[in-house]
Amino acid sequence: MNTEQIGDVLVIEMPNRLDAIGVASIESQLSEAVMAHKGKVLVDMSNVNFVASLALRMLLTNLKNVQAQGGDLRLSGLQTQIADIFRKSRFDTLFKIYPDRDAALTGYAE
Amino acid sequence: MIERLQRIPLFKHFSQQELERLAHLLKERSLKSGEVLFEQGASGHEGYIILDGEMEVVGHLNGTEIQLNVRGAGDMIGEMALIDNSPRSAMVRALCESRVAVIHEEAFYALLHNNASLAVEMLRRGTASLRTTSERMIAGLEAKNAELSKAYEDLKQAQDELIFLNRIQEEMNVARRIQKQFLPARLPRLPGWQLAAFNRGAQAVGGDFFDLIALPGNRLGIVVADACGKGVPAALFVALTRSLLRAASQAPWMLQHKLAAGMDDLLTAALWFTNDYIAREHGESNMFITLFYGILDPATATLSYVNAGHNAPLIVTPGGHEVRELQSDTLPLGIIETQTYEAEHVVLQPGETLVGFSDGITEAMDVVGEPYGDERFIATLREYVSLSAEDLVKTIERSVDDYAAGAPQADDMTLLILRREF
Repeated sequence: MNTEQIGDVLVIEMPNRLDAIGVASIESQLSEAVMAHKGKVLVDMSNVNFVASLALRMLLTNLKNVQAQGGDLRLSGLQTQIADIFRKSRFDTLFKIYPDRDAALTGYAE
Repeated sequence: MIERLQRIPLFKHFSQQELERLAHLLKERSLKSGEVLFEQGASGHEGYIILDGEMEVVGHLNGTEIQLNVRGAGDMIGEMALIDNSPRSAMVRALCESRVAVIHEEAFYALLHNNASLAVEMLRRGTASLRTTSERMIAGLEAKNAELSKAYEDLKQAQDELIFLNRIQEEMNVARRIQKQFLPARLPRLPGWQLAAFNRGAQAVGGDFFDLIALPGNRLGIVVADACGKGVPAALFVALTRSLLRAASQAPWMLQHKLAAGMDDLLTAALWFTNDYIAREHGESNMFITLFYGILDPATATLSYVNAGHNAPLIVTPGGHEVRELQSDTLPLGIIETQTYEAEHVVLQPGETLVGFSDGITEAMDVVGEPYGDERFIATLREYVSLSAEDLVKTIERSVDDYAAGAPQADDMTLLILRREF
């Protein structure tokens, strides 16, 4: 899991497989990073080619936590099949989702 | 020789004359490094005084050599066998090139007889050696005793852990039996319809379930659901969701003895109640449940349904010519309080098959981690859709198992098939 601070946005790059094992390996690291930052978080999903329901739960948990502190967690770069899962489960209504990292950073700047 | 003997503490009391007499009794012997002076168990009629070099005293225990002692210049060895006429108690071997003075049994006795101070000195040395050996043995025993105590403690701890694990295993078995009761004991019989279902957890308890709920007016509630994750946390939410949804579906007409105004109202109200309860009471867990709930009116073949984030059920036409998804997407249950639902409707045509399933089927992995996949699932449904609902379920189950080829089941699997007969 790579993190990078761009302006006031914490950008977190997800690994390619967010199955149960993938989630377990980054879950605590992600929540620590998000809770330490408290503000604008962007989760870059462009590498992700598989999400289990636990991955959706992990993102939802962090979204709720950071929103409770006045921040936000947005997503970028969903591959087609991942966007499909977000659309069908309507998780796309819970997150602001951008086509790529630049669009998301622009979105945050507005 | 006399000069060397003079430097040996054992003979420090000897006069020049006595030393000369002693030197006369002794024979010199040289040993190469590693050469054995005498073997354990050999009979001994000679004692030795080390003049130069080093000798090790070696005992044998269970076929393994143990170095008991190392002796150097001035030390006497082999005298024990002379005193008690017993076989050698240990082997003695040169650690380096060494020289010893050999004294024969008879000369040894004569020497002791004529020199009381030598006898006392030997007695003192023998006693000291005995004392050292005893102390060493006691220390050795203490160390062994500590090792044994430690091993015993480790063993006891391992046994406690095993008992603990067994108890957890036993509890999981009980939980599995109880969870089975959360699935319909038998499938209802609906004239003109076929029903079949299959549910298998990846672990002792699972996060998938299906339900078939008897509703007024001969209607049937059909549920296929998947709680986020698997194992115990998911299983708790299965118990919660299944109970809430079933109670919310049945309570209005069971308690008030009247039919709900309409099936759509019952469907959306039951979902509203179930979702709201879980989101409100268990929101902190951030757990959610994807759930398809349909209510079938067999008289009109109409299915009113809501799909809360679950894999869209499929409708397969007779002969498998067409496969379409039941569209209606809302968030899974348990995420947002006071969420409202809207029912969708579909009429099942004669021969059409409704297939509800969980992603444990389509995401079943083979040995290299490749998923079974939507395409393979749909192709299998098309190919075998002419089978009875029961045989179709068995065929899909076998197809997924054949594909996995022994790879461990990654996720819980649920499959439910409803067929309108011609």
